[in-house]
Amino acid sequence: MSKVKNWQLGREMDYPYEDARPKRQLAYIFDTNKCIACQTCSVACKTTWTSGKGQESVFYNNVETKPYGFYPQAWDVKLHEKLGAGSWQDKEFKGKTIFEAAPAGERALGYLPEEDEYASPNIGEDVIAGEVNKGAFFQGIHKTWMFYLARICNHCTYPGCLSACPRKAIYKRPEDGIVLIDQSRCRGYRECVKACPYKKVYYNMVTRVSEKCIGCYPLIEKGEQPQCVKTCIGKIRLQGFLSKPGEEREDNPIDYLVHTRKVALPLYPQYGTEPNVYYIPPVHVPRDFLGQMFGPGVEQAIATYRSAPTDQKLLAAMLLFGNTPRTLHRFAAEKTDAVGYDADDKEAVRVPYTEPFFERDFFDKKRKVYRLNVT
Amino acid sequence: MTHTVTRAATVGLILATAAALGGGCSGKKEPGEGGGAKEIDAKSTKTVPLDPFDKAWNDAIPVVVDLMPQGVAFPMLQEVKIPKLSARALVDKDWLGILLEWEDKTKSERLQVDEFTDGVAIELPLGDLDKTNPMMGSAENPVYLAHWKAAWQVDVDRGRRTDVQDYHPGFWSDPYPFVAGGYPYPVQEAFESPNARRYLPGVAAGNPVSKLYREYPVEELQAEGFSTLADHQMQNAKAKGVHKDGKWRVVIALPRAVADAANPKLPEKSTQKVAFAVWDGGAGNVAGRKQWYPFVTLNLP
Repeated sequence: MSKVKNWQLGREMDYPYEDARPKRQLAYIFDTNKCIACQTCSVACKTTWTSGKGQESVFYNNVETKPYGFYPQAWDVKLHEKLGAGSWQDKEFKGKTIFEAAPAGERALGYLPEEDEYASPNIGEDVIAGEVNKGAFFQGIHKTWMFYLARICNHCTYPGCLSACPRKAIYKRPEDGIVLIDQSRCRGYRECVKACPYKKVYYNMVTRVSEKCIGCYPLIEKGEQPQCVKTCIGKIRLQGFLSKPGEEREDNPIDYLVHTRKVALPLYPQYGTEPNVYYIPPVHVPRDFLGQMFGPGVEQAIATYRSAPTDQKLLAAMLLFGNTPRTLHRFAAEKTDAVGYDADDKEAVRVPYTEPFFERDFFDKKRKVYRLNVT
Repeated sequence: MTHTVTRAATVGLILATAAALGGGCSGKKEPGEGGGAKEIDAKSTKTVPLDPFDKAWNDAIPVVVDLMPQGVAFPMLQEVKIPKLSARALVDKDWLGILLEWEDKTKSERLQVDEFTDGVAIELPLGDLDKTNPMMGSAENPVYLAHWKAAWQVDVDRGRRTDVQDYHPGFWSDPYPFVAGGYPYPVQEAFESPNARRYLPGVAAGNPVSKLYREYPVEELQAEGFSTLADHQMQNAKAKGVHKDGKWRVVIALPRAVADAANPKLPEKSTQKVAFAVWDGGAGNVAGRKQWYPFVTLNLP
């Protein structure tokens, strides 16, 4: 084992390989407050990449309802039971990561899901935590909750899948940090399926090898955001690149939201893989649940998020979500607009802070009809 | 006569019990009953039979090895499930056949996310017999491997069975992209076009594990150390395995001389070495999670 620095844990940790951060890291921010679980992302991804035979239960992208939705079933609960409790002290994780808790003869602590656990992609969908007493919904704010968690491969800095592959058929691209399985070399051992704590590597029973989200790398290489990001009708997603720790740029929207404002947090950072999909936590969910899921920065993230309407630069970064197919490398908060720039530093998108308001006459003289009051 | 090779024998410590049992045994003994020699003496025969129950195998002397858990490379095996393996060899003019036998009450031949296949592999040095690392060789002294799997035996015996409807008979699906024919779109017939194959990524990438057609349930490979296992472009080996009465009997036959430089040359009156690995799919054995035994001398007549 090597000692590597995991900034999400606030400390060094054990990892089977030397630290080798990519030049820049593919990263995403998902705003859970805006997701409506329409599954457009899931369908876009499935149609693009996993519509073949043997991929019926392969969902590079899925959206599950928390707390009772999972794909595969109970994936996080099962791992937490194995991993045991940990704690955070001054934003330093004091428990064991999946690498530090690896059993004898294994690279990482994990489990292999049973086939049946892939049978219900929408299990627990829209199921709320707790009971709703009669009439509660008419009495103002109620305490029941649930939220939607959109999930893809985290293209981790220290991937569990990669660490466990005895073939070294999994690799992390030095140019952008995308984690890929070499489909010509994988021998279907399923060590990666077992070791990925997020269960985002899938076994294809027809090809007999494992597959995972490829970060839509053909699009990334063209300067475009992935399918799941571009098609999101709720505009909850932004894809870009996270700079190496210490090299963050405030005008990089991903760096700004993750490192500078700390409004977007990694999912289950305690696993130790340094995942690179960052979530803006849901504002209405009990903090202890969110703390387990997103680490110690939840309160600050939510407070920052709530300040967005009066914080022009933060608002500018958030308005870039879902408004351009191009991958943004720089942004600026101009007087009236948020502006995003592509890899060539050309303006790719301009979004007004306030949408223009159009008022039309009640009667359409050209068509000689009355307009209905639609939104 | 039966020979037993123990782990200790490989480091020169021949167990007294094994030595006491060696020699003077009748040819009627079954594998695993004892023996003291540590060499497999291949017997000549007219034609090496691929049938593991062919009577010709009775002429070859089985050697039994005590298998060890693989504990050097990740993932490691923590508990031996297959303690013993019997091996015997026959040769004819063109082929070396090795019959491998081991007890395994559970026949594991399905491949699903949580199901693994039984299997066995033999390994022969391609370089210096005495300097080759039995654990996947090295760049200087690579190794040749022939790997049989129960799942591949099913492919050969009954057609490729790892299809969606084989495991889930009621599974309905609309047409897959560029697929030919109708439901249930069997993988061996409906995905012939290059465009349809694109949606079977492992197949499209030419991964030998993803082969849709397999003539024999064995794969020839080469390795130059851990993580270097590579498929031979020329596949010349043959094999057949049968599970009966809680026991696998598998014949792996290697050509004695082929154009493939990555195959071991097996001339007359030569000395070879052979190592073994066994996987119990039912116990989750896969990859390095295997029982193994290092090189045993193999004498060819």
